[in-house]
Amino acid sequence: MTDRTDAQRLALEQRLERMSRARPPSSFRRRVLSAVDDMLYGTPHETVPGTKSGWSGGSPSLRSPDLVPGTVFVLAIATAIAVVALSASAISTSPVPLTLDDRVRLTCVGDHVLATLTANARTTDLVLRPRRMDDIPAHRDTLRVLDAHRLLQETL
Amino acid sequence: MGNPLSESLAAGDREAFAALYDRLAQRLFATARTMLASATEAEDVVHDLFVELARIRHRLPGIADLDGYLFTMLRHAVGRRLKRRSLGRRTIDRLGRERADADGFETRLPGMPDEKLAGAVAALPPTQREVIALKIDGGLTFAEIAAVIGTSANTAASRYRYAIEKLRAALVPDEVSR
Repeated sequence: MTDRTDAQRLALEQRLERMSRARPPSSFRRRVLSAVDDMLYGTPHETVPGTKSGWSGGSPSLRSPDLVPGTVFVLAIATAIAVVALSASAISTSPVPLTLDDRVRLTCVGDHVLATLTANARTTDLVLRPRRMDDIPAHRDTLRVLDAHRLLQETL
Repeated sequence: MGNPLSESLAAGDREAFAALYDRLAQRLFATARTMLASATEAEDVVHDLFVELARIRHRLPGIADLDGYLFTMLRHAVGRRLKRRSLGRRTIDRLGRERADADGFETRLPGMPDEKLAGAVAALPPTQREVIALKIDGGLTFAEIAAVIGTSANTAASRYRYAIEKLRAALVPDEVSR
């Protein structure tokens, strides 16, 4: 009886090991290492149009060698005004009832994430704060939409 | 003095991250998949784990056991996912997976047809399931598992034995060795 139990246990362990051999999809390695690269080298993606490829590990910098300091200052002020305006609109807007067919485009605005939602032919801009791009899972459009929905529910 | 890989990771060497991925990603992924009973979520966890590792790379030279550290990070990430589920967000995740299926995303892995066994593993208590995952999928010893989950090696071994016993009892005897 004990021998039979031991044999069953052994067979079960072998079956578990067989089950554990599955690997992630072949594209997964590239996706992970690309995200690591973004984190290491800060590859900027100013806009993420709901695709699987473009993604930022952080907020893009406003600085550019082509911009004189005064331009940077003006852009910073303009961004701050836009954030305040969009925040006000977010507060006064009722949560948009999203469906799974809705699309979302996420854009970095300083440390905030601007979510442009297209729902039932209406487009609504909402600022998610203090969320950052890398708080939102990157590599599945559908989940990104759902996460945006969840973040909106938490934010509003 | 840390190990050379940790030093390279801390220096932001992308080849070091690729080497680490090649060495550990499959085991981490399989472990997370068993713990979460979801390949899609396991992908997310491993993806985020490597990104987080890149973010905190400067701490890595001080880590004595890098593999154990990664599995501990994984366990914490899985714990947060499971907690999120228990907060009532399971529906969103399920809808996401269904939609992902509809969109052609791969959510079920090839070579994993053993649904009955997978179901039995998913039905295990979380503390036993994580030991099964760390032992079978992660390939860790009981001493390493003990370090990851913060218990003794004897307790880890006991949980493993109980889990195997439960799985054996859950499956029809003549099916165990199919």
